[in-house]
Amino acid sequence: MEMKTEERNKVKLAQQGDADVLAELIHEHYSFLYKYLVKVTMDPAMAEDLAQDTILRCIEKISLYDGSSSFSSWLMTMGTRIYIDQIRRKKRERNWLFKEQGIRRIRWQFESRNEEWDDVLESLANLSSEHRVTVLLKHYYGYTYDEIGEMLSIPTGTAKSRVATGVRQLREEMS
Amino acid sequence: MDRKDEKGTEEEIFLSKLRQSIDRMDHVLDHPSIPSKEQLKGHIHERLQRRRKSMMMELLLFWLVSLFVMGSGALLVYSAPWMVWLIQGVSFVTAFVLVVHFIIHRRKEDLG
Repeated sequence: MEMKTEERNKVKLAQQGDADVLAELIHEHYSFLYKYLVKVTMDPAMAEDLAQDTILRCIEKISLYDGSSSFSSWLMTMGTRIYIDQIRRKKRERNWLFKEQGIRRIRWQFESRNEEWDDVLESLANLSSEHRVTVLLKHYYGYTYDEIGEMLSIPTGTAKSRVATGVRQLREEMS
Repeated sequence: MDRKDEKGTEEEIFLSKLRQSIDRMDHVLDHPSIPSKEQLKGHIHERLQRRRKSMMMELLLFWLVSLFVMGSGALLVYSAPWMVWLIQGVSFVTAFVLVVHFIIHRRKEDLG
């Protein structure tokens, strides 16, 4: 996922300490980042907290961003890594009850808009987070296995097998 | 169409259904409360200022420790030069022994 010239210029200015440009960049990508994190966590409240943590990390690490991927991919990578770290650290707290609460929040939003919460979304929500992230990155955002491996700091083969297992589990639950 | 093609097509249909459902979720979900550019600018300034302060503190600590080490070294040279030579000698011998040990260890590993 390459970076556009305009974005590259903005990143360069932000790295040189232009707070206005950095604020503009973050503002432009905030909604995209939040929506990605909702899909990953299946919990709007948690996604909002993660988005804020990601923005703070972005402000601190902007000078280290090398531009090898698009700015949005970089934000996604940081957001996903923060999420994975949090899951590892709070393993005992993030039990099924927390998971249920997040899904219930999304379902409530569906119901309040008279939209159907279908089986596909239900199975996606039931998938483990590591499988859901890889399936989303591959089949929704269109990243290659190499890119997914890099984003999640896992070998390409692991990324591939996680995607395959994730899709298989989704299909099994649907049938 | 053979069995493999059929399976691939089924998977493709499933994946396109998955993408549609996720797209729908994107539309249904409430929009996040995006911080304004002014708020973001405030955050950025605050963060940068905090980082600058911590860097200054680190630099100050570095200089203080350096001064202390250099001062102690100078004091030692003038008051007890034999101790300086002792420290230098012991360090050199220890480093030499360690290097030889690692070389032998690596050779053994290569042969094994």
